[in-house]
Formats: sequence, structure tokens, C-alpha cells
Amino acid sequence: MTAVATQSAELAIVAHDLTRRFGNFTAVDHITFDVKAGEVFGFLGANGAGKTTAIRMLTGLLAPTEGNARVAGLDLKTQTEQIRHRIGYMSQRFSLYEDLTVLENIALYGGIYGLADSEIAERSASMLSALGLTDEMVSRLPLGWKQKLAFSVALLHEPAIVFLDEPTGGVDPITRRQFWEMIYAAAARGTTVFVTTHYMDEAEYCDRISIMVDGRIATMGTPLDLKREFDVPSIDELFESVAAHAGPNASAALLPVSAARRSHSSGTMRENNRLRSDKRRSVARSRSLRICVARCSRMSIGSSTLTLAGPNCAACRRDTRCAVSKARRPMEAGGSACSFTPRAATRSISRARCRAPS
Amino acid sequence: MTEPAVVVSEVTKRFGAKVALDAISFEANHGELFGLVGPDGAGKTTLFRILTTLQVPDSGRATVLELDVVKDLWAIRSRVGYMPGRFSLYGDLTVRENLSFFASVFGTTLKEGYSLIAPVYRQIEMFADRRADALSGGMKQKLALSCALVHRPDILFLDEPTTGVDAVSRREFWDQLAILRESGLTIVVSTPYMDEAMRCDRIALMQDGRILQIDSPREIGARYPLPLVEVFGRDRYRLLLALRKAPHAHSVYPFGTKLHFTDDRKNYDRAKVAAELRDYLAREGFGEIEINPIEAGIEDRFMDLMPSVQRAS
Repeated sequence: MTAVATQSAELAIVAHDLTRRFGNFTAVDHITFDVKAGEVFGFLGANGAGKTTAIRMLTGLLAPTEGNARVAGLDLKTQTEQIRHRIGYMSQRFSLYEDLTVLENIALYGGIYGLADSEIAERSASMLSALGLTDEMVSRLPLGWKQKLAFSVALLHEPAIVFLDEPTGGVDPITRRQFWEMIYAAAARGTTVFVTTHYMDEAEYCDRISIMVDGRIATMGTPLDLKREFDVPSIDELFESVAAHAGPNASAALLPVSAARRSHSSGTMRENNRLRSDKRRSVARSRSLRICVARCSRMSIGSSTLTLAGPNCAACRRDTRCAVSKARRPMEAGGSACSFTPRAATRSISRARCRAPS
Repeated sequence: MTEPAVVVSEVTKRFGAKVALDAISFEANHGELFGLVGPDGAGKTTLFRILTTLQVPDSGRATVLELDVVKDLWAIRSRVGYMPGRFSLYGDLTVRENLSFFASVFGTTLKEGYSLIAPVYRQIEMFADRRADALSGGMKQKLALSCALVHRPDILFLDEPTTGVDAVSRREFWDQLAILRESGLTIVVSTPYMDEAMRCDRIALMQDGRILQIDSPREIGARYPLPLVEVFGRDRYRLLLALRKAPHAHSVYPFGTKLHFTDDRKNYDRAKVAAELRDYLAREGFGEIEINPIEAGIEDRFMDLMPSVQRAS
């Protein structure tokens, strides 16, 4: 703990022995590393190596079983709420509401992050022109554009750190490169970028990378140093030689989903996230509780904001059973935070019963 | 047999105003490992669904194993193996139960299909009693492939089998496809990963419902129409911006640690391009720059063929 506390402010992330167990399975096993402010940090690893669990901890969505971290200078255990305001997050898919327009999405996220209406209007306009987008339904945008928009939205509240979880999967090669130029531009403005990818050429674009194997960080350094150290010509081969040690029979290759689901509700969320919105609505009718969690978690960082908003939140106000009462800043300031939200979103959220993930 | 294993002729499919497939034509030969390469939204999944008789084309004609995809759907269904892009197994059944289920649907047994699936299945056999949803991503893919093979199909359709799968598991998966191909099985596979396409016999580059080009991976690279050089140096981003402003710059794209620079003068000597570029970068204040003439890869070619609308921004 002291080691964590004494780090300088130039470090965006300082993780110390960060650990997460699900039942008797250790998904993340005492990882210790730091990320410098303004750095583009590539967080690599095979499927099931523990990357997503680590990101969920660093973004305050999942409590560590052991160890701690400072994120944007804040303590992960005691200042989780403040951290959420200082970070942005974008997942591989469904970061945005497909059934809302571009501007409605921006307004929704702006509202969640407590931006003033005038700020939202200003940033919406500059975002549209920078991306060359018009205000249309998000569902009609090609995947590459959605991902570029989602990234911009994740930067809307000018976070110190942005977490990108496989942002370029399935994206065409030109848009993939344009996306990386946006990453460079954000880093040049001082934003720390924490990114995962399965494209090994993209790993070369990072200032530093780490490779996770079986819940541990097997190796870490600049792409150039690592290639020299392992005497390989490319990150592709580095990954092969480091990550392949795990082998197909290694324990990490088997994710005990059922255990994870019991100890944390994310299993259910993830499952529901995959449902299409129409399907989601029908699920809502039968299981109103789940839908709320699913809808909210779809927005990841911003979303748990809504879920955990408590009695002051317009979305949850009517539900006295709302389990978490910790009110969030935008809610307090604005009185009814969800008045920002486009009608459709508000409606569907308020229709559902709200309860914190158990 | 006289006809190729797959013959697609002018197939068009619309969903409302969206044209998913725009008069697509191609043929895949018997025993061929044929790749459909392109980003999400290119129309790959729709094409697979038509070829596996799950969807009917609006116009055009397609045959699989000389059977018409509309008229002979039942005959086709028993002879193809299909691995859809989304996880298609029953999570609450064990590995073995899934295999037995798929075998029984096709009126066979796991035992009868075993020899064909063995190279793939052996790697997950030790988890035969584990529920499918408790497998890792790479293992789920292996189980899905086993399930698609268990009834001994004559042709295999794999829709993005490696999407979201890490680089090591991806390579293993392609090793398995190579083994299956050796056994004489015809395989049509789609992928958004251009590097994987190198392992196909022939590939079709797809974008927005159209086929941009079909050829062997090597030929596709060789048909790159303009001189191409790779540039390596420090401060990559500044270098990228400087190269875009270079005289005769057609396109500049990052490729890992390198930048690929395409000159806009057709048939111009690549060595001359490299020399001119070296002078230009020296004038711009870049030291320690390495420039080499190179052959284009699939991704170079794909980007070059992409509609200019998308290239503009």
C-alpha cells in the first residue's frame, strides 16, 4: 500500500499486486505495473488471460480481492466514484445506443458525466465536424464510424485516462488506421491510452506493451526492447513465444463462468449485452430487474453511474428498492440528471426496476 | 464432378434499402481453401447464409456441390458443415453432449464421425464433460468446428471463426484448417484478418456487398498498381504526416513499426522512389531513415481497392 501511495503524479496508473479471484479461480494474479501519463499502453494477452477482469478492476467496475491501484492519482478502493469521472471507457462493441441518434448519444453521455448543456452543445458540434458525421441514427453508421464516434464520446468529459477494449475488431484496414491516428492525437493532448487488441501490428504502435498469461503479466516493455530481449522480428512472434507458453491445457484457458456469475453479476450482464435491443425489451417485460442492469452496463462506466445513481436519480427515483443510495455528482447538481437523457433511454431505464448488481 | 464446389452467379440480396450483396459472382473449386476477406458489413455472413440455404437470394443463382441453394435446400443441408460467426453451441450442454447432439441431428453418431474430427477434437477431449459455456474462446471455436464436421460434410463453411480470438489460438485454428484441407475437404472461410488470408489457396476481397478482386494471395499483392516502399524511422507519427506531404504521395499507411508509402507514378522505379524520398526526408530534418522497396501485401491491396469515398477522410 505504501508503495502505491508514494508514486508520483506523473503516473496515470499504478497497480500493486492487483488480484481478483472468482471462487477458487484466480483470474488476475498479483499484477504490478504502472502506466505513465500520456502514454499509449498496449495491454495484450490471449483469450482468458485475465485482461478484461483487470480492466474491470481498473475502471472501478469490479472490486479487487487483493492488492490495490491508483488510477489518475486516486485510490481504487476508496475513491472509486471520483475515478469514474476521470476515466473514459470504450468496449469492443455496443458502447453506444443504436436506437438513438449521434447527438442524442453525445447528450446522454454528456449528461451522465455532468457536463453543462452549453458544453455538450459545443463539444457535439466540434465532434461532428471533426468526424465528418451528420446527426443520424447510430444503428445506420458503418462499424468503423461507430467505433470512431464511441472513442470521441469516451473522451467527451476530457478524462485523464481512456480504456479501449478491442476497439478495432472487425474494422476495415483503413478505418483501423484512422482510429489509431485518433489515439495518437489523444495521447498528444496528454490523455493516457490503455488499449487491448488482437491485431499485433497495432501492438507495435504502442509506447509500451504488456503481455498477460494466466492472470499474470509475463512481460512488459517497449515493443523495440521486447523484440530485442526475446530476439524476435515482430510482436506477432513475441506474442507467440510468450503467450503460447500457457498452452491449450493451462488453467487460464478455462474460464469458470458459472463461478464468476455466482460471485459477480457481470456474467448476466455480459449475456444480456449480446441481446439485440428488441430482444432486450422483451426480456425486460419478464425480468425487469435484469434488463436494467443490462442496459446500464451496456454503457459501461457511464452506465453503472445510472444503475448506482440512487434515489436522487430521475431514472430510479420511483423505485424505493434501489439498493445503492450513493448519489452521484451530476444527479445532485442537476436535480434530475436524467432530464438530459433522450426520451427513449430514460423511458426504458425508468420502466425497469433498478437494483444494484448483487 | 464437372462443376466447381461452389458457383455463385450474380447473387443480390437486399435488406430494406440496404444492399447486402450486390450481384456477386465467384467459384470455389473442389478441395480448395477459399477465403472471403473483408471488414464487418462486407456481406460475408449474408453470403454464407445463402450458401447454407438459410436465406434466399433476391436475384442471381448459386449452387453448392451442383445443388441449387433454393430448390435443393434439403439435399444441401445434409452435405454442408456450417460454423456461424456467433457462438452456436448449447452452453448448458457438455462438450460431448453438444457433439452427440449435432451428430444425431444428422442421423449419425459421434463414434462414426470421430476420425474426421479427431485432429481438432483431441485437443478438447479432456474437457468432454465440461459445459460448453465454461470453455475459453479458443476452445469454443474448436468445439464448434468439431460440431460442424461431425456428420462428415463434403464442404465446410466457416463464418469468421477467428474473430475476437487471440493471435496464438488463431494460428492454431488455421493449422487445423490446413490439415482438413489436406484430407480433401472443400473449405470456404471468411475473416476480417488480412494476415490470415495468406493461408488460403485463393481469396476474394469483399467490401460493401461487392467483390473487389479474386486471386491467390500472392497474385493479389503482385497486382498492386503503383510503386510501394516501406519507411522506417523514429517519431513515426511526425514521419507519417511528413510523408503525406511528400511530392507524388499517393497514400501513406502505418504497418506496425513501418510506414508504407505508395507513389502516384505508375511504373516508376521503386528504387528511384526510395532515393527521392530519402532526399525529401533529409530536407525535412529526419535522420536515420531506412527506406526499402517492397512487394505489396493483401492489406495494401485491399486498402488500394477500397472505394475512394472511404479513403478520403
